[in-house]
Amino acid sequence: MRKLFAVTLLVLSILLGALPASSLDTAQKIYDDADLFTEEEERELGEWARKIASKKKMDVVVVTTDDTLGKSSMAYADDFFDYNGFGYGPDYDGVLLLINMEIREVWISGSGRGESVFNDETIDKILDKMEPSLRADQFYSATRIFLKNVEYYASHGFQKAAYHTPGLAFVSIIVAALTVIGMAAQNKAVKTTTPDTYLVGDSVRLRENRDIYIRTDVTTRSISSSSGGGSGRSSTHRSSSGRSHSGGGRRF
Amino acid sequence: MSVMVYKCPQCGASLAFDADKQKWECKFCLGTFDKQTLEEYLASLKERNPDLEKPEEVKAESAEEHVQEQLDEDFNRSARAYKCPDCGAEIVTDATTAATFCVFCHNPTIIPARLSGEYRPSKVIPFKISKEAAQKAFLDWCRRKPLVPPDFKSKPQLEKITGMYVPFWLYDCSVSATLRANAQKIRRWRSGNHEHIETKYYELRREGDMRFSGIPADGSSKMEDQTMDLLEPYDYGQMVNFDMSYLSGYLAEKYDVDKEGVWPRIKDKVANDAIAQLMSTAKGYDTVQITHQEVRIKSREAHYTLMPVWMLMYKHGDKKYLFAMNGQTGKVVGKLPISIKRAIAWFCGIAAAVFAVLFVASGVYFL
Repeated sequence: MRKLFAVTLLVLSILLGALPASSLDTAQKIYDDADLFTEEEERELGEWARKIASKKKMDVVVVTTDDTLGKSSMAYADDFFDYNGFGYGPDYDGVLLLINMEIREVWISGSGRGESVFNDETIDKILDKMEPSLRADQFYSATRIFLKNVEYYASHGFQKAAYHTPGLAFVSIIVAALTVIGMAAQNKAVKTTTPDTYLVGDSVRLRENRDIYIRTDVTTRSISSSSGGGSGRSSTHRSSSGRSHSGGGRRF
Repeated sequence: MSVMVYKCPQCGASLAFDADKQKWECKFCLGTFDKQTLEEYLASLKERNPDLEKPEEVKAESAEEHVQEQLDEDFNRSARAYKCPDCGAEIVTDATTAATFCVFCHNPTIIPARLSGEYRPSKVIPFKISKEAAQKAFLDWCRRKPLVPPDFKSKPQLEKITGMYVPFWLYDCSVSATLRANAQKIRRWRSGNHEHIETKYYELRREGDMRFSGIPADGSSKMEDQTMDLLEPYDYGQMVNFDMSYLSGYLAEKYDVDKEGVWPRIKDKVANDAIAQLMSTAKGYDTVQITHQEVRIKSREAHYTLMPVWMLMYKHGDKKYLFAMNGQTGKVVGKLPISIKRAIAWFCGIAAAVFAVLFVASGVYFL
C-alpha cells in the first residue's frame, strides 16, 4: 500500500518533472490592450499562464484588443504569436487566446504541438465553456476557463489522468465498498426452497383462470436526434510569417 | 423413569449410528451392524428375558426421576436426572432432551419416555453426514470468508460440534386460493422522430385448489425459527419410520411447541406458496399488482418427525454465533464474526488496486 503510493508519486514526479528553464518561463503572457482586466486580475492570470507554460512546455498567451489593424481575428492572433517570439522549442509550441472587442469575437490559435492538441474539436469544446462568460462580459472568468482547459489539454496521457484523480478515487472507493459489503453478506445463507418444493405433483386445479382485457393507452413523444461528435480533425492554415497554425473562433 | 442404551451384539459395548455407513457401529470391537441384525438381536434378547419390554432398559430401583437439590429454581423445574445403566453416574438433562450422552462414560443414552405416546415421532431422517464431514464443512465454510478474524478458526471449537435430532412438524395441507390482480403489457416502438408507448391493461382472476405435503416447522423453542427455515429443504425420500436406535450417538430433543403452536408459521408458508402458484400462471405481463388474495385451508394433517442437524455454538468476543448444517443435505446456515481490521484492510487494498488500474487505463487512453 505504502509502496504503491511511493511508486505512484515517483512516476508522477518524473512525468511532471521540470525540464530546463527557458526565458519564456518568465516572459509577459497577458497583453490586455482592450483593458478588460484589472491590474490584480492581470497579475494573477499572468502568473498562472507562466506556470502552465513552464510546466507543460507549451506557451500560453492571452491578448485582448479593440483594434486589429484591419486584420481578421485569425491573422491578428497568428501574427501576434509569430512576431513576438512566443512558443517553445523548434516548432514554437504554444497557444494564444485573442479576445477581439472590435467585433466581439474570440479566437484560439495553436502552434507547433499546440496545433494537434488544440484541434477543431478541442477548440470548440473550450469555446463552448467560455461563451456564457464572454456574453456576460465576464472576461476574467472566461480567461480562467481558458487557462484551466489549456492546463488540462496540454498535459500528456498520465498527467491528464492525474486531473481525473477525484473521479477515479471516487469510483475506486465505491467499488471497494461494494466488494467489502459483498464479502460481509457472504456470511448470510439464502433460502433454497421454492413455491414448488412442497407442492404435491400436479395437484393444482384451476377453477377460474381468466385474463380480462380492460383497455389500451398509447402515449407518443418526440425524440430529438443528437448530432455526431467531432472527428478530432485539425484544420491548419499558414500565417503571414509562413508558419502553420490551428485555430478557431466565434462571435459572442 | 429409565434410560436405554443400545448394546453391541458381539461384545456388549454401546453402539452408535454411523452416518457414513448408515449402520450401527461398535467403537470397541469395531463391529458394524445393519438394522436387520440389530432387530434380530433385540428380538432374541426379548425372548430370553420376557419381562423386559426392551433390552437393557434399566428399571432403576429409584424409578421416579429424582430431582437434583439445586437452589436454582429454573434448573429445578426443567432439569431431570437419570442413572447411567453402564457406570451408574447421574445424567442430568433438560426437560426436552430425548437422547444424550453420559458425561462420565460417554455412553449414548436414550430416554424412551420422551419418545413414546404423544411424543413418539412417526418418521425420522437419519444423519447422512458424519461428524468428520460436518467439521470439514465448517472449516471450508470459514476458509472461504475473507473477513473472518484470523484467530477464529481454532480447532477446540470444532470438538463442540454436535449432531442433534430436532423435532419438526410436517404438515400436509389441502388449500383453496383466490387471486385478483391488475396486469399490464407494455410495448414501445419508434416511427420517425416519435416514440410510442402502448400499455394494455388486464384484470387477472385466478381461483384454484392445490395440495402441499411435508411443509416443515420446528417444534423446539430452543431453535431459532429463522435458522431452521433456512436449513430447508430435506429430502423426504430418505425418510424412514421412526426407530429409537437411530438416535444412538446423537442428541435428540422432544417437541415443546405442539402442532397447534407451529400452525401460524405453517399457515403463512402455505399461503405464500399457494399465491405464488397462482401468480406463476400469469405469464407474459410486464407488471402484475395483486389487488386481492385469499387462501382457505380445507384440511390439514401434522406428522411428528425428527430431522438431523449439526450444530456448533461458538463465542467470539462477547458475541455468540451459531453454525448449523442440515445433517442430510449439508446445507450450511450461520453467521460469522467480522473483523473490522480485515474489512478495512480489504477496503484499502481494493480501492488502491482499482485506482491504480483506472489511473493507468485512463493514462493510456489519453496518450
